[in-house]
Parts: sequence; C-alpha cells; structure tokens
Amino acid sequence: MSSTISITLLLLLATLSTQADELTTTLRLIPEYHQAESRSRQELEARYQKGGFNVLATGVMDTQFDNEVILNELYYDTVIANQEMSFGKKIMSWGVGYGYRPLDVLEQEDRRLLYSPTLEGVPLIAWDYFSEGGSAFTLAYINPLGGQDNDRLDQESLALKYYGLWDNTDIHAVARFSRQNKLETGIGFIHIINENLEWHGSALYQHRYYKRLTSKPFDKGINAILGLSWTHSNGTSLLGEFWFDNAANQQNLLLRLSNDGDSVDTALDWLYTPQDGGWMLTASIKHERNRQKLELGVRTFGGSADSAFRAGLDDFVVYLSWEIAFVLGK
Amino acid sequence: MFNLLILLLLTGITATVQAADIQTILKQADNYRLPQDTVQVETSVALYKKGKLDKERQYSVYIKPGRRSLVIFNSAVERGQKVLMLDDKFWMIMPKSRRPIRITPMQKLLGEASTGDIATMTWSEDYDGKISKKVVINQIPCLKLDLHSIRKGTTYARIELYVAQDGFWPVAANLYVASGKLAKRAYFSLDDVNGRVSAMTLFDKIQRQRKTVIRYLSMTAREIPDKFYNPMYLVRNPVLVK
Repeated sequence: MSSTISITLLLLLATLSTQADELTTTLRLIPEYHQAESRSRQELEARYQKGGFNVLATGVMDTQFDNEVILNELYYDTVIANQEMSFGKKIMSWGVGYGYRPLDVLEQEDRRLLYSPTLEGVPLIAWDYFSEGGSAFTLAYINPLGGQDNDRLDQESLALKYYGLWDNTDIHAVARFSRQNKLETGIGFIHIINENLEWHGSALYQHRYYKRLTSKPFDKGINAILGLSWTHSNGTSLLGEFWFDNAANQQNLLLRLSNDGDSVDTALDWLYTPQDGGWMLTASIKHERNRQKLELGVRTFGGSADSAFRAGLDDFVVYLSWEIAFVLGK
Repeated sequence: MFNLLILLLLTGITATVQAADIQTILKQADNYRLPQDTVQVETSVALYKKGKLDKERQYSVYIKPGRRSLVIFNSAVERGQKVLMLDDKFWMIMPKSRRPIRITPMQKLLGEASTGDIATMTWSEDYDGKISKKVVINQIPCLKLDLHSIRKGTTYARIELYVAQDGFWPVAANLYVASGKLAKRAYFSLDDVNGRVSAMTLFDKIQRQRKTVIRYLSMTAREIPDKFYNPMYLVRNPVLVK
C-alpha cells in the first residue's frame, strides 16, 4: 500500500519538478562481490522540499530482494501558535557515537552494514522547543495509529529528547516509553578537549529489552559506549570506541584510521568482539567529483573459528558504490 | 632607576599605540572583505590541481555578530550538508544522519574546501600583533603585519598579513596552523567597481599541487532568526530562500 502511494508521489513530483522549490535526485549503483554469491543494488532516491513540506522516497532494485519503493519521509514542518510542530513520517536519528549509538532509540541504525541505506522515518506528531540559550527539546508521539508490531519502527511510543550545550560539552538525553520496552532512558555527551581531540560517551537503561533474533524479553539492561577521536592537520584521524550492546550480548572494540586526502579519502576499520574473539576488517577508498561519488571497499572476517564474524558465509566481500546527484528547481 | 622607569613607561605607551593601530588597520582590512556584520554571502569555490580545474562547489554563508556563521552547502554532491560555527564551537549536519555532529576545530579544516576559509571573513576580533616591516608585493607598497590568534578555535594560529600602505586593503597573507607549519598562501583580488575583495586565491603549501579560488559572488545585508544558530534547529531542515 505504501509502495503504491510512494510511486504515485514520485510520479507527481516528476511532473511538478519544473515548479518545484527544490528536487534532489540521487542514483546509486552498489555491486557487491561475495565469496558465496554476488549481489547488486540500485537505488534512485528523490528528495523534494517546498516550504515545510518534505518528501524523501527511494526506489530499490536488489538482486536479493523484490523491487520496492520506500517512502523514507513524508512530513510537514510548521509553526502553530509559536510552537514548532511536525506531522508525518520523519527520520529521527538521535545520540552520539560513530560505530554504535545507544541513544538512537527510535531508528536503531545498524552502523556495521557495508553500505548504509538512507534511513526510514517513523510516523509521528512532534513538538520542538528551542530556547534562547541554545537548548532544544523534542516531544514526539510515535506511531499514533497504534503500532503493535515487534518491529521497533512500527511501535507506538512516546519519546522525549533534550539537547544542551554546557560550557564546552554537548549533552544529549533521551527517554522513550512503549508497551514493548516500558521505559528506556539515557544520557550522552561529547566534549572537545583541544583543537585535535574529542571524547564522547553515552549510556541507555532499558526496563525491558529483547535479544537480537529472538522475541524473548529480558529485564533491566544497559547499553553503553565510550569513544575518543584525534585529528591531525594533515587530514589523518584516529577513532577508538568501546561499547556494550544488550541485544547482541556483545562487547565491541572499534579502531578506525582514516585520511581526508587531496583527491581520495581512505579508511581502515577494525571491529573486534573480545568475548568470542572474532573480528571484521574493512578498508575503503572514496573519490568525489562535482556530481559523482565513487567508493571501493573490501571487508574481511577473522579471529576465533566459532566467533559470530566467522559464522557468516563469507571470508571476504568486495564492494563498489557509484553515486550521481542532480538538483532541480530554485 | 628613574630613567628605566621612564623607558618602561614609554615602551608601554608605544606598545599601546601600536596595538591600537593594529586593530584599526585590521578593522579597515576587514571592511574590504565584510563591509557589514550581518550578511549573506554567496560563495563559489574552484579547486585546481596541477593548474587544471578539478572541482567546483557552491556555498551560502550567513554571518551574524558574536562570531556566528552558518554555511549551507549547495552543490549537488554535498546537498543538505551544513556547518555551524558559534564562537569556537563547530557542528556539522550531514543529510543522511539528521543530527548535529560536534566536531573539533581540526575536523573543520577537512573536506573539499576548508570551511574555516569560507565562514570566517574577519581578522580584527580574532587576531592581534604588530607591524613588522614595509615590503613591496606585486608592485604594491605594503605593511607586513605579524598576527597571532587571540581566541580559541581560529583556523590559523599565526598570520603574516600584507596590507596596502595606502588604504590598508588586504594584498596577501601567509597562513600558519598551530603546529607552526605554513599551510596556505593567500592573495586577494579587489573588485574594480565597488573596491571590495572579490576573490581570495589560496595556494596550498602542504598539498603543493593544489590551488583554491574562493569567489564572493554576492553580499547582501540579511538577518536570519537566532534559532538558525541552534544546531538542533538545523536538523529540521529549515528553508532559507535566497
């Protein structure tokens, strides 16, 4: 049903594009070569904005799934009686951290994917408040039509977010209440130590949580991350993060070495799970033109033979991502 | 002892006069780049490699007093990106992430064009120093000013700024990062009609094959509401009609 609506909207946008305030389209081709089998994904993403009205939709062709059109966002931002309101389906990506964000209570983005697709929003009614001192509050009623599904994106919930700048530290705090998880609440920070160095951390308490791949509930869990990053003036950055994720019952250590170069950006990510002794190593190289982005990467798995990373079908994956973007209107 | 006291007093007075002079000169030089303190600047950045045009980028910069600047990325490939600078604090908003990411001053230097070069258009509030000598640059008699940063979060720790003796308009500058390394050499071009700086050409001293030309296409007095300088408000993807 939502696919039909999305296709209709995309067609409508295409016909309206000449009068559009702004229409951005991005075409992505992402072929992957796996040891077990090859995979290819093509995406056409369209973003349209006119005043407070926003639509973001993606048509996906993937050799592993049926073709589909995803309505990532369809929302209206407006001011009613001096209050900032949002209605519709909107991406609500919260929290701090690179490899994992415990405070991302609504989207729960999986940051370990080889290719991160554009997130899919949640249906909501939201109120935003911005203080003169620079703080911000968001109160959102998610899935007002009463989602009962196990899928977190479809669950009815009430969510609250606070953001504030305390001296030189960004503070983030969240709370979510749902039938499935009861109360989840957490706090996080990012502090700039000097020109080159920052550290960040966050922790989330869950009154009830579910292990990944099972629906069995567990009581009182903590998800937490602590990280540090350092950047040199020559463009080299080093990031270290350590986190614990209840749902996977796993500790994780991420080390990332990256370089922002003259014509190419390079990165090397090593994700280690000390409890089962497995690891995943990803090397990537990126190049940007006026309209195009090109990325080539290789991922390999190793460590203990009975680790989760070694349990997969592949020992290595090679991927390529090519992206071209156009802006129409204005 | 009495002579020494007089000497110290005189040195103090001279230093004060010179310090005042430097700020007057810097304010005048700033006026050639940013004639108003609340302004919208449309900027294009052309990146050259080995003398050939490699990439072009477009930005809208909204500057407000109190060292506040908002940079909106307009090129297709960077669409939806924003950088917010409040005093010495910086945030980046990426279209896919939909959340403000606090970045260090060094991270702001990364990317195709250093955001610091685009967003900061004044010296007087951020630097102080002394007049070191008179030199001729491109046949223009200049004063060489040795400047050092007096605030946290400035893009360059030290600047050798060359201003024309006649009018104090900026001619050239050597830009040094905190490690003491010469990062870039800048040359300024003036518009024939309004006499303002119309372009800044940067020669990268670290990546030597690289040249960046920042052109100021238009400059309009425009004040946007204070809430646009709240990092969380920018996530709402507000529309800024040009």
